[in-house]
Amino acid sequence: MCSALPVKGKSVPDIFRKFNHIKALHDSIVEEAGSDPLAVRIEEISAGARAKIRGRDCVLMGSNNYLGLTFDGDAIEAACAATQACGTGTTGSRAANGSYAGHQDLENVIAEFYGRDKAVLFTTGYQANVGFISAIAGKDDYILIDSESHASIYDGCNLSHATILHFRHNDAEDLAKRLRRLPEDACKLVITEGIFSMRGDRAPLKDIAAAAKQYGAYLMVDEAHSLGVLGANGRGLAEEQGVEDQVDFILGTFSKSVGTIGGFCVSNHPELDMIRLAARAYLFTASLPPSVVASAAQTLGRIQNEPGLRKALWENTDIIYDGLKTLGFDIGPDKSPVIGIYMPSLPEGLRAWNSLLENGVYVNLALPPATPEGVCLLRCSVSAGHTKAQLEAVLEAFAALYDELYPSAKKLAAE
Amino acid sequence: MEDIDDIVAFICEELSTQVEAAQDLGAETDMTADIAVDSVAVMDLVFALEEKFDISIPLNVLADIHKIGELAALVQRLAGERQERA
Repeated sequence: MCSALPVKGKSVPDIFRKFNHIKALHDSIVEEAGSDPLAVRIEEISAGARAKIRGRDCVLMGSNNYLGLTFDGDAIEAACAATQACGTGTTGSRAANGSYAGHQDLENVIAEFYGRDKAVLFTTGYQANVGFISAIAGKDDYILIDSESHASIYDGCNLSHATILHFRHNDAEDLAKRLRRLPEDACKLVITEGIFSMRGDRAPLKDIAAAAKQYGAYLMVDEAHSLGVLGANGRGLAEEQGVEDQVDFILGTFSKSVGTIGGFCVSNHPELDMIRLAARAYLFTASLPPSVVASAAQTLGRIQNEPGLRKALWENTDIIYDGLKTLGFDIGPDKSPVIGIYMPSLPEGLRAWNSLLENGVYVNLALPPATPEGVCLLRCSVSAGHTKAQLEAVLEAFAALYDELYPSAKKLAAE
Repeated sequence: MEDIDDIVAFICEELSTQVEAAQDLGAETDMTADIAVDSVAVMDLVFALEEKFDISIPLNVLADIHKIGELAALVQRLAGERQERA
């Protein structure tokens, strides 16, 4: 535990003492799991969702690499060429150091991808949410967020000066009730997500858009996990549900299906460029390096032009989602490549995570406060890059895990 | 205007499922220091208060509230504002 430390001869409280309760919880997690699930070392990584962890070959079932494009040959070539031509980094923000041509070209690519007039790049998806939300909402405005929103949405809200309200998860009626209570002439921004990152469920976007529009609210959708995954052209939930014309702002990231890093906002609002002058997460951070910009532009083209990638992803999703359900696991209600498996308790979740890793399957361990309702989840993300043999091996490991977790169910089945 | 004692009683009843039965809850109870209500329970409590009093409680105001009595006063104010608008 952190305690008082002497500083220049005086005894003062340790500035780290505020983390004592986190440290105690972390220590207990490490002890229960037998290793630190939050500090896994990937010793080797290769195409096809394979990695070496603890000296063992593993299938990566927790990478968010939905389309399996991190080793795309053309993207790697484009990244190498951009590095040769423009160097390894921009060493500053676009406001200070200028925009490289690649930044502006990529903004045109992403705007065209979504069929929108304008796009603004950010250095990460987290910064896109934090930067956009904190800039767009002022002190007289209202932001209404889903109660299970991602941390970056909460953080953006906290940095804004707006009044923040939440509505019940995926409940458009509850949203409408809250909108009804607000002043008619106030600016209101409703925020939801395409696919929620922990349980893989989707927002009822048609109903949410209808409520937002009925009460004159702007609508923002974070399509971080749905870009490349949903919609005939991979534009996400708004495309899938046919409500793109009712979504004012789409936020997203290149760090999942696009296979690199970076964030963006697209919109038809004629003043979107004001975000460049107001969002501190845009103004005061270094811009994306040329290699990342080049690979993102390359990969977005593949996402747009190769629907077969999404077909492969959904075929694999069918295998894992249906397989886990058949085994008896308690999983999220919506089928999607993000699959949250409920664990009976935190200690059992830790042991289960470790047991899967010992059997060559890496999944994410998701713990409160990142999870809804304070539950412990094993989070899988399916990839188009998974082979059928890998998926079979994964389900075999989960079958063995089920017997470990629920021995009485195994006994009943045997009887 | 809603009666502050009624609001305090409602909050105590909602929280009673979250804490040890023997604990006395009242306006002076500090929800984090005294009874360690976690964030999920706070969320449930907020939803219940919003439903009961037909109000919306801003999340950014909640951060400064620790005692049950402070939360009750906030609910009373928001419910009063709603009645004025109606």
